[in-house]
Amino acid sequence: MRNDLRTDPGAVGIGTSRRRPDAAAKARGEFEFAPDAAEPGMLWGATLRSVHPHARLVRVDLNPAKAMPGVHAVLGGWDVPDNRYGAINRDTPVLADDIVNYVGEPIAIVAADDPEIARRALDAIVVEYEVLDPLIDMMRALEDGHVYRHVDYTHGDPTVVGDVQVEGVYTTPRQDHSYLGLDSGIAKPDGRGGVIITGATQWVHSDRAQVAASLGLPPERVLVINSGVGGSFGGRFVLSWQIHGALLALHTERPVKFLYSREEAFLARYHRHPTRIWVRHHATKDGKIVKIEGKVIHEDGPYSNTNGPGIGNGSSLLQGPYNIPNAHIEGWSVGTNNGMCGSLRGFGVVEPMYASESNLDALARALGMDGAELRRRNAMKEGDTWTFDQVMDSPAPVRELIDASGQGAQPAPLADTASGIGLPGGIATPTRPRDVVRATGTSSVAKNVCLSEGAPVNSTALVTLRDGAAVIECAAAEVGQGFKTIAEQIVQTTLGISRVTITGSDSGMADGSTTDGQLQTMTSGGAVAMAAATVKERFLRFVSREYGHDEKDLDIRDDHVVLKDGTRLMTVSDAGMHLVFQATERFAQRQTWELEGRQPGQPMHVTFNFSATRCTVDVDRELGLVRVVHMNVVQDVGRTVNPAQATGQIAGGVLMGLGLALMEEFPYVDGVPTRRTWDEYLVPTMIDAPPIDVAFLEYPEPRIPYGMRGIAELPHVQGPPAVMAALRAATGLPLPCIPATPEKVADLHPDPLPTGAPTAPSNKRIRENVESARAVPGDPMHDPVSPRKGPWNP
Amino acid sequence: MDDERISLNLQVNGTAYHVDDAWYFETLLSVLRYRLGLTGTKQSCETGSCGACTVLLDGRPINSCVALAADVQGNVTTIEGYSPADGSLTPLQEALVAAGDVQCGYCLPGMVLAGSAFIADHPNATDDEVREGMCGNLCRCTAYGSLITGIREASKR
Ligand code: FES
Ligand code: FES
Repeated sequence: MRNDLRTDPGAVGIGTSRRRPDAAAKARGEFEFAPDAAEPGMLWGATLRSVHPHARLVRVDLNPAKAMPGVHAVLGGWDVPDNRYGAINRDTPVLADDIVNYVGEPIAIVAADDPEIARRALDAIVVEYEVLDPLIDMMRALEDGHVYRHVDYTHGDPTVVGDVQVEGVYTTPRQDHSYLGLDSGIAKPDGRGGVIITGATQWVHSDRAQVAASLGLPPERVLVINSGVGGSFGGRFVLSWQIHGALLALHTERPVKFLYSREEAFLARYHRHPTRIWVRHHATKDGKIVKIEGKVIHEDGPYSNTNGPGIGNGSSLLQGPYNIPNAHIEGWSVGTNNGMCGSLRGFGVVEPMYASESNLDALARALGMDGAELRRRNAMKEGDTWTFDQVMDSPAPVRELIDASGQGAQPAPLADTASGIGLPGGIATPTRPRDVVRATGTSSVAKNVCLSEGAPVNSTALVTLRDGAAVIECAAAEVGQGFKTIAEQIVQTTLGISRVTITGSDSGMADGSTTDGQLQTMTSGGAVAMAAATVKERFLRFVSREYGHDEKDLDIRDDHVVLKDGTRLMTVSDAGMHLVFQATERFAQRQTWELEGRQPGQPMHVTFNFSATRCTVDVDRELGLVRVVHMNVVQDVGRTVNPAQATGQIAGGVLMGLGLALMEEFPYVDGVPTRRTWDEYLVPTMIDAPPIDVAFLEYPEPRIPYGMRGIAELPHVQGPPAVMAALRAATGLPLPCIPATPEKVADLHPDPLPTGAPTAPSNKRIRENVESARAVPGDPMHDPVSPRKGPWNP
Repeated sequence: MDDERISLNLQVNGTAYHVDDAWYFETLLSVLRYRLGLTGTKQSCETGSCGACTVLLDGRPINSCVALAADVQGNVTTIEGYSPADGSLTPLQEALVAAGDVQCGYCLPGMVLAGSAFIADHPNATDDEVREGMCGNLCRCTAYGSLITGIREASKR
């Protein structure tokens, strides 16, 4: 282990591995996560959920539940003052009114003395369903016009044709966030008609607005307090239990706790949207990409809620980190009855990046060229223009990243004596070393940083300096990603002091930005840096007046007021005379505009980040077993605020991506989810996790204090294409559908990826947009599960 | 309903507890967290799949979410009992948080207790031994690198 990755509670300032302020409490089990909280007189809430993917509610009788001893309130959709909510589009019912649209949709809620009594009360509620046909196929949804958003744009000359054309259809599965900390919290009456909601979230201010709107209360009557968050990964952007809890608390005038079980978390919450993506690259014979065409379909669940930006992200970033002069790209977000979909780390970008990187693997093969070399030749650089007509006006060291990813240490060769977890299949594997093929692959990816297309991205922070110690107040949510630590480090460096702490976060503070879109470090971190800089200015002005120095000669270093030459004058603590120096600053990212209809010079995305990875896999071709041996990840982070945390975020994100590549899938059969535990929905364990080497480039982000850039989503985008590039190299298979489970890896015989132009679909009845979406003969997009069918293996 | 309620006796962290009115089907996890207030033991999958709820029963790690409270005989050690009373960290806890990227930390109490039993049995463990011995404990935030390093370092004799 590199020394700078050892965390140190005494480390000070940007660039050190300062230990998280809550690390010891977490290791001792004392840190209070949302599920751990309790209140005197507290009731337990529970939610009755639909068992059908699509049905009319003929009768809902709450009375049997109301009559049960120990039950204090039972509420249905008619009890909700404004029965719709949503973080972006308010189209999701708080409680179903007359139709249910997915398995798990809430119908009624109860509050009872004990969780078991609450569960029994749910069983007592009588629901008569009239079962309707669910819409379960995303292509059918497109045909039927269940389209939340359609985008269609071109770039350069879309009629250009390359010497070599390679195309494919790629699918990605529904993925669950599977954070360990269950959805939980307590709602309680504030004693004056309002409500206090304490629980795990990633954006207290958005939660407050949504809860207040549904309850018909002014926002001031709702206080949302963030409690200990056990992971988030985009999964706490949309409310889950909060409005339910608030309703029950106001009805019973008592605190009400919700705690979802794991099964309920699978059913109730949204997932990463499944996608089907057609992409075609046109290239010259020497590997210069001249055009990309793509059609991106996101299956986005029964309510649109947050899904618009996902398809915007996906359609815009399909090109990957390459300079491609011509393009025609379309995208659709469509609705089905297969459960809610929404943001998950790398929202909308994980999937197209997987598809286009996969197609580049095929293009490299068609060209007889090394995949890393093909990517190098087309690498984007600063000053290039994206296909969505935005100039790349910050660093884009893609070629350097690709080169660096190839340079790190290689894993040791597979020993003839390897066994057990040293082989594909792990403990008790039937694989023998001589069955194993080893190969490496290289992939490079890009992701937009911050929310895009006009979403507000700003944050406010308050910094107070007193007696030589500073306190930060910022509503930005700490979900485990480490914002609190880096906020302290930023203030330490800016103010030149060591004693810095940060408070908890609630909606009574000035607006903080959401913990989404890898934006917190460069947005709330920016606000924190600005507030600290203003405090420093005010403090030094005071010192100069009080002690008779020229303000321009003064600075603060190592907790001392110093002259610019380093001469120490006095401690910051003494100089401040117990006075309070404080400042509030707001930091806003630049304005962005919607993908389509922008004027020249109007950016769609705030900025971007880039990485490249070399991945090594061992594969048993016969059994389809895969072991990822090693990954070498290089990412441009702008400025490394905390090496241990940055390494942890990147490695952890890459492992989630590995999970998506090889095992994670939350499938629906006839509209019903078939996996509800972690024995069925697999997430990577210690055995699946390879050693992941992480290295940084540090090209500072313009316009941002200290040149910081967000880092935490890109690694999840990076995982799948990196693993699959290596797996394709090992097997020679196209492997278009992830997760590449053993049955997919084992059964196939190597076939070249499809080439040649698609022919028009034969079905003339379908709508025009479907026609263009299905630009591949044989309708391969209808059958993503069986890799035997489709154009790659007719 | 009354015939579904039972009384329980449990030895937890050296203290004898008597619990009245528990449900007969309650898990050890539920009793620890919601009846004894020992919330350091984390609830996550409730199917024995993640190790977040690990406690020691007579020194051996068990998943408390799949142990029937009424069945438990022996001394239960939770993270509250394992952690030094003076607020400090054991060498294993210190090694885990020093090795790098603790993130949300929800997995940590279970990781610590399972790790303490693991290192007792595996002095000078290798990375692969840690991977094999600790693979019942999930972490969704990290790539396990620092956890493996921490446990390996704490196993040094
Ligand atoms: S909560 Fe017990 S093993 Fe996951
Ligand atoms: S640190 Fe979040 S689950 Fe391990």
